[in-house]
Amino acid sequence: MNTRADRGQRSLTSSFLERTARVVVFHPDDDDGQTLTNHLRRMGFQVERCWPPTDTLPERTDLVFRALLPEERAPKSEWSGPDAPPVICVVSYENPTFIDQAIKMGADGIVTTPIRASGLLSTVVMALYHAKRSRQHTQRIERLEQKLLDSRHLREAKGILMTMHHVSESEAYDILRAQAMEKRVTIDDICHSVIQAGEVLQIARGVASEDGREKE
Amino acid sequence: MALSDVIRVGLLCSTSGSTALLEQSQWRGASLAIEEINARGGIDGRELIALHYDPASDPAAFRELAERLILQDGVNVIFGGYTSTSRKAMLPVVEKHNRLLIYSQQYEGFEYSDNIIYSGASPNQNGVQLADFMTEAYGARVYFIGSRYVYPYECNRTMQELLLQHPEGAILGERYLPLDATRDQFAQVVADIRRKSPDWIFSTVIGATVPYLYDAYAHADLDPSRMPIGSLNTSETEIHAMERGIAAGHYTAAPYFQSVDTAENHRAVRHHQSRFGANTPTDMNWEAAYYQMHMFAEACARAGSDEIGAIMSHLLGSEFAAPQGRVRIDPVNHHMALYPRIGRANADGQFTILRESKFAVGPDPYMTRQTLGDWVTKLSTRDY
Repeated sequence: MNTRADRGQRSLTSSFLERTARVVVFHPDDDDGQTLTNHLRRMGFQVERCWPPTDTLPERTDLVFRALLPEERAPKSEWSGPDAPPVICVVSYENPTFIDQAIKMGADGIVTTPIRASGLLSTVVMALYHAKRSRQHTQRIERLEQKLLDSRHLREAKGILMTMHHVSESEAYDILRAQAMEKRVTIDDICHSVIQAGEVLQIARGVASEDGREKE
Repeated sequence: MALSDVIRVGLLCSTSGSTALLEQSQWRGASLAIEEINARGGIDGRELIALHYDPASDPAAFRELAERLILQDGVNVIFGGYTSTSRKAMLPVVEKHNRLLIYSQQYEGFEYSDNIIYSGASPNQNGVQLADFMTEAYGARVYFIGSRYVYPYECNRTMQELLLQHPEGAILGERYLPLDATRDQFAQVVADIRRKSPDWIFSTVIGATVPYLYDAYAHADLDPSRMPIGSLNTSETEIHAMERGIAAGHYTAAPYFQSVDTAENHRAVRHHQSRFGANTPTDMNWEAAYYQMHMFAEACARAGSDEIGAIMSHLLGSEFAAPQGRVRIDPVNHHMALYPRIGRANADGQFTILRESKFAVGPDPYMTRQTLGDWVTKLSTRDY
């Protein structure tokens, strides 16, 4: 029974490969740089190699390989930010100094020289997969934060209506919803207007508002 | 049959460039061992010959010459390499052709290759001991000066992790100078050291620039009894290249000093002096190259071949009565069990050994179980 379900699933790996991802390789033009670019091309990626690293990335870059040279002690993290593509660092020495440096750069993966074809696809797919998941998580967190904010606004707006018009909580909600439907905007927009109006009225009423707060 | 009568190994020791001084010491150690092996009748009657090339302290040359030794000279085993950069340059070559590299040098750890034997000290066999001795004797506020490449970076990181376990641990400065830095650049760093006034100075300065540091220190009128330099690589050979007496009072942690008091060392030093003169010192580089050549010859005799597939199992786990004591190649990580020692340079350019391990300390190249202070159980205090 399981096999049927498996057969129906799309391969995550081939979905990454089918996109012919655009890869920028910042690596000197030496044996390792050539092995790396050749094998990435072999795997069907669209590859551009250059050295030294540029400050900006070409449009629609899906993945960056970045050599960390032992001579440069603290490379700046050039392309960080929420929409930046995942970065795989290429290190010569697999020791804590360089691994830490890669982490500080925000790397999503590390490969060690001498570059070998074997292991490269796994690293690329894992970096793309984790970057995608991390983007999805970030978006989800943003949505949840917005929801949290919306529900605070709603609570606040309902409170204002309840004290001003002496209505129950569900009546207050009905008022807000009716307004939103009539004006064809979201409830959150109506809440904003109510809160703003409430603030203005509070200033006008001065001490009265503090009495109201005490009653709660 | 003529070719199979002799066993030829590759020897890459620079005669020029920034680390030539130390690589010449490696060459003397390896050559001395080869003489001793051949004087005993060679390896099962076959003469051992080293094909020596000069990579001129250039990593790219190490790579090219390693490839030449394998492809043109048909060599199965290569000895050599001082800096980590040179080892890293040869690594892909020996892996590609499946040959054996014997790297006789202490380094920063964090490496393993099926094709390499790492026969110098791992950081748990010198750095841990130096950190413990120096913090106990002088304090844990330390200034770092090193050469600008991977060994000093990683070695300093390891040292900083040990020091920061100490309640008073502090890093007062961290400076890196190129391998071809000038005496003047060192004077500037020493001026900064004087201002910051650390408890001691950790030096990972390498090669030809080592004498500049000690010289600049001596001429700044700093006092080694109050603020000494501690190092893992400053040996009798670097001191020999300095003005007489200026290294006195500074410390080095290493598994070997010329002053080690063993029968094997006395015999090897005597042979060395008869061959290279009484004024030419031995050092940790010399000793590692010396015992590794002997260990290779013994393994080769047992295996009946110098091919990696045949000889590796005879090298791994093998032991040898080296000048520093009985050493052993760890079969799991290809590094050596050695005898950590703390030496203080004296006015004669030799080291007075202050502490030494009674037993061989196993290699831990990935520093998996090292904490400051846990080594005292492994070392005995000894008064000379």
